[in-house]
Amino acid sequence: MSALMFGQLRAHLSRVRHGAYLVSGSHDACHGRLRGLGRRECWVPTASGQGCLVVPTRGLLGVRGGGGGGACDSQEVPGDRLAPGGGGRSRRPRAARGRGERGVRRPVRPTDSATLAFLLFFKQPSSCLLQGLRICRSIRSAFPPDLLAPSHPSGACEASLACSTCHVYVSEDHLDLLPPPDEREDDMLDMAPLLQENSRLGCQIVLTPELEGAEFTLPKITRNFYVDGHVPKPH
Amino acid sequence: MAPRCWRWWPWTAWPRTRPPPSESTQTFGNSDEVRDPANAKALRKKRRSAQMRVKPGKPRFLLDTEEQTPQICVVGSGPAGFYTAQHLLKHHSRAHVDIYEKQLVPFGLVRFGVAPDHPEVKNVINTFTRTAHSDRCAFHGNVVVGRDVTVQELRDAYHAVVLSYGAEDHRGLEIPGEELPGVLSARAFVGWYNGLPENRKLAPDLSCDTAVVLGQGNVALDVARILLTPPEYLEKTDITEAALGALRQSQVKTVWIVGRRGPLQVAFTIKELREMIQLPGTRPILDPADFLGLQDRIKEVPRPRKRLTELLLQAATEKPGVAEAARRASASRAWGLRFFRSPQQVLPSPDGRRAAGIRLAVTRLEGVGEATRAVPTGAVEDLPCGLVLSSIGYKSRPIDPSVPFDPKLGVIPNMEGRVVDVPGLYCSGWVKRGPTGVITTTMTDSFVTGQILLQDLKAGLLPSGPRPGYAAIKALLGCRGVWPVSFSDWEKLDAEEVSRGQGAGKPREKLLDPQEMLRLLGR
Repeated sequence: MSALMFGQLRAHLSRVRHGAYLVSGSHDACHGRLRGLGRRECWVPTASGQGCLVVPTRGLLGVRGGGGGGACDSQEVPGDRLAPGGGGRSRRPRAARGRGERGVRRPVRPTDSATLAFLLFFKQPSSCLLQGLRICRSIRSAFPPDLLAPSHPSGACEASLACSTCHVYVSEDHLDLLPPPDEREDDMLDMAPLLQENSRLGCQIVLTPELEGAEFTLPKITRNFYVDGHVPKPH
Repeated sequence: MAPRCWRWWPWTAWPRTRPPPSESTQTFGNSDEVRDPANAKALRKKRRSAQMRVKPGKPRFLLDTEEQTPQICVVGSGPAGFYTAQHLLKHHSRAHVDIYEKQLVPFGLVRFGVAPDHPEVKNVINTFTRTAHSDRCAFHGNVVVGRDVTVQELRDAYHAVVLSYGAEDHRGLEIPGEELPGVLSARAFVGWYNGLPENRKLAPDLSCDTAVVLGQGNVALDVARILLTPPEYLEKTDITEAALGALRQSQVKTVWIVGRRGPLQVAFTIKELREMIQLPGTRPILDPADFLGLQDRIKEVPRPRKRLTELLLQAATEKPGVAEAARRASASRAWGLRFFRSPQQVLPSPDGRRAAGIRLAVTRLEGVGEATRAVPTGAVEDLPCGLVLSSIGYKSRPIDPSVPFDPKLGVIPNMEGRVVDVPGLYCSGWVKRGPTGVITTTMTDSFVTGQILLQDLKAGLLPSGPRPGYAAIKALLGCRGVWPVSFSDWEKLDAEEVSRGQGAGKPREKLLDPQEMLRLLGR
């Protein structure tokens, strides 16, 4: 088991060398500098010195979980794909997922989706403890705002449960692993557009090793509030 | 790095909005290319050279820079204005945005509308401050568009003008007795305790024991909450000192929040309702008769309405636990919701000098769903009170004769943000959609307007050729004796407010007098 993980770790590190950036420093800020077109992985360090690799993926994924092998390479993500107006659906990963399925690489089709999913890979899942590192903050600090769905500056209230801008959809398998939402979180979720069963507020999700391989998808932002009941066309 | 340092890097990341060059290195089938080491090296080299060919953000030909720099003007520096500016700056690498504001201080309703005991909502000010610090954004306060400079002059100086000046008027009750002392708009009351300069002399009379708030939205609950919160809870907030003093001496013991329609049509949200129910030193007065049969009717309604109504039902019909019951028994103040009552007349006191009560017409509901309307039944009810606060909605004002305005809806006629029949003019926020919704709503809406504007820019629908931008307006304002306040001026005022508040343990003590503010800036 651990041999498998170390193998995956080596695969990781080689990918990390290719284009991601290792960052050391305070555990609550990860500065994803852009190097190369589209390589936007980020290593989010933790207090214990271990870290987790947060990888943006385009809608389709081959494999999740357990360090996921190579299928979870981040795609080239040109800036214009993220322009608002790419109103695709959030796609679920196509293949059945299995832990440790390495080497299954799936060609990911370019989509016009403005949604992104984030995968978490833990360097050493058994010993990694993220102290209070919240998904919203890690994503927000990890990726420049133009990577995230641009109309989605998550955390307008800076994680104080006073808005719903960090609204994310959690992958079904990991939804139950999260603690149930506080009353106050539910109150704020009530105001979020495109609410689904698996909606949560990103600022309340604390990263733990159990969330290995979790997928967080950003909702499509097309909410237009028309006073007269006009139904907006999607864009 | 310091936790706050991401203040700088989003701006360096902004220029990267240009699409990659056509010989792009997008790898859709990622497996084989990267795996092969030789390929990987060639790929890296290709990517690096592609990168070098495109240096987004830096003007390649300096002579053309001015031509290609769109000058955009935003009127209003509240959430709508700032979010529109943020979007424009983020999605255009060269656009320059000027934000005009009629107050001396920015941020609009975030500063003057959000209740003092909701400081977390004001965190968006940090985002706005970052936007204002961009070198492509400039703030100009103390400029009244429509009076100091016309919209036409702005349209001549800029490539595009976005109107985001919100709704500063309130909807009138239009009932007899409305002008009596003791009848105020909730908007003025909120402006009074939040330090809006034009409401600083309001001096509401809080010596009566009953207050009536007409309307059942979040503003109504805010006003009721501020009236009933024990003043010691407000001492560490940024409420103005004058308001805190008046509230300490307030005699108001009961606040009725009155609505024309029923519990299913309340406009407030669940967070604010929860706060009211748990307000220290107060107890809720809810008539279970108003809630009969509601349990069944909410089974199919959407989640937000369902949860809200369930909470109301619970507060009205369920027996409270021991601790809660004890708390309510010892409460010295109370608030209640009255449904199916529409204001008909404000009753004067015997000497006719102030309001002493309000006559309410009993209504019933007609229609279903969103179209449910209140219709008078003929019966009336008198409710004695000394203070009437009307919170039935805000209204925008027309800013300039050259800008179309719909007086019935109180908005600027527009299609998705483009003002009808006026090219190059846009609107966002409440002046576009009507005065409802929270900051998040306005944010999304502003982004839509920004997107539409950039689409038009790209499609060549906006005037081409260089525009002078602020340089022209500055000259005009100088001639007219108007001295704009910059963002760094605001920061000086901000520092002064914070230091004044420190002594009292408050986050800030707001400056109320515009003359004093100008003196502090050395004008």
